[in-house]
Amino acid sequence: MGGFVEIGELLFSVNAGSKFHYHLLWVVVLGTIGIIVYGEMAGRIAAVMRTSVFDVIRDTIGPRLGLITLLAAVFVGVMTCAAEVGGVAMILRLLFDMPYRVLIVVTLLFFLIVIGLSNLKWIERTFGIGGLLMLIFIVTAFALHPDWPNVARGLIPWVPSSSDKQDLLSYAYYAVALLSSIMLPYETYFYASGGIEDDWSSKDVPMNRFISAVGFTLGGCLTLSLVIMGAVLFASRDIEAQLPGTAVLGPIETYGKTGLLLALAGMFFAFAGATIENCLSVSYNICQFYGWKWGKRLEARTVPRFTAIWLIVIVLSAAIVMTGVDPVQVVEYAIVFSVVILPLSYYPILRTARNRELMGSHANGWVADTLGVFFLVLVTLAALAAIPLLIITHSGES
Amino acid sequence: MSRQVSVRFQSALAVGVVLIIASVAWQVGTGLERPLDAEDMKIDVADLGSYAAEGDLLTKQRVGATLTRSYSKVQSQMWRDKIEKIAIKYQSREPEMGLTKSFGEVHALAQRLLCVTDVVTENLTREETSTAAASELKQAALDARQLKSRLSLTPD
Repeated sequence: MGGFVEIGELLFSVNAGSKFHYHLLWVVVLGTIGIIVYGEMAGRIAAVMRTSVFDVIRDTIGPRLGLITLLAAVFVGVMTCAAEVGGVAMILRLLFDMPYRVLIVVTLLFFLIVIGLSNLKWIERTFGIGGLLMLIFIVTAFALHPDWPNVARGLIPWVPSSSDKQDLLSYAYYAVALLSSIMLPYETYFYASGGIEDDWSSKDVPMNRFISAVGFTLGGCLTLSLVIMGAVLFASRDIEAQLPGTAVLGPIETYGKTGLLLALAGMFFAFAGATIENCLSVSYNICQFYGWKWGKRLEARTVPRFTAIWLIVIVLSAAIVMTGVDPVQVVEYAIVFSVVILPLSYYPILRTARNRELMGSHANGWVADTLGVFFLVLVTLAALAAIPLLIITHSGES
Repeated sequence: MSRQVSVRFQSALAVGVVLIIASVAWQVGTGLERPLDAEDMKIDVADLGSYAAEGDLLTKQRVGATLTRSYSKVQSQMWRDKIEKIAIKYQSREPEMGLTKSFGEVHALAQRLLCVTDVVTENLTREETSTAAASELKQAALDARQLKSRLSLTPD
């Protein structure tokens, strides 16, 4: 779970519940199925062909469009990484009441040590298990006694009947942003690269299916609980969470100080996991696109470009938040821009995963193919609508 | 890499990126100077109402019992900073023609909230102060809701 629910998804989910009650729950379900479908495909390609996402992108859509996708992915990756560094510093500030900028430096040093000195397995396990503390939000959602029949109705796609055009646009903006925050491209890039790092082969295809289904479903359940918490606790009060600490008010209301500490610790691991995944993803993507040697499993000095890129990304991320820019606003824009690169990332994955010459018996079956095409159309429509909606609705605030 | 990208294409791409960054910077720059319109005020009132309601929820908790001292102090400080940012905006910017009254009302609400948050952040552990602040914040949240409705109907 560490890395799946990051600062942007946390706040978008809570605010989706606060603004539209349970009516956007179906988007969470849809997005979770989407990320399972494409995460599984990317992992399967990595296991069967030992090929990463950006190798596939470059070879499928060509180097020119591939380079544009790479630039956009790097931009979004650095922005998201910066927001996560700011998010981790904010959580530490809520825990230890130290100056924000000092904590950004502490956070930077922490990441330099963790990424530099730990192996990928340790990172995945530590932040994955630590992120499970976020389960406090699922427990909180149950404890708040939501209106279950309405929760069930929220799982069915719905369009508001309001005659107010602005309401409809705001609803559409939140639907697109929530979908994007669940299907963030770095998750697929990191997952597939991680498979290659772990030396997956064709015999790991069933395990890949299991990991992507269970892992992303768990993250999806957490997102559902955040929307429910927003609907029960914040909607009636018209609260729009603009700080990570606001989301903690749910666990505080139900479990007091214990809820507060569990939620803050869970958020620390989740945001830190997302920081590491984003940082390494940028490095993976650039190296894979240009055909440079890469890998966290290799000695840092044997992969100098890979090491230099992740070092630059983490330092640059810290420098961005050091300027005083609001991490929440940064991640909001990063998430909306992410959806724009999703079709360019997913189309090559789909085309490769269904290619029987390349994938042999592990090529897509009709279920994966149908779902793949459906989600490709969906993210393309979302990509076309994302930026106009961001501008028209003033980031959903109208 | 099997197929290389030409230098000409990379240069064109770099120019494109610079142009996009420059146009975004220009948009942001002009946005910071233009007079506030009804839409801006509606967004700010909604934010103020949200902060007031959040403050109400926060002040109902007890430091030591349900909150840690650091969380209480830092969260209320960050919450105060957000309100202050809006209050400063209404000191330094002008309203659009015909929106002076609404502008004044939003400004007054921001100042009122700022006063309450100052009391809250300075008296985190005093129960009687928190209770009084909570009721003021609740009222401010209600007032913000009404002001937002008025701004939606007729700007002035």
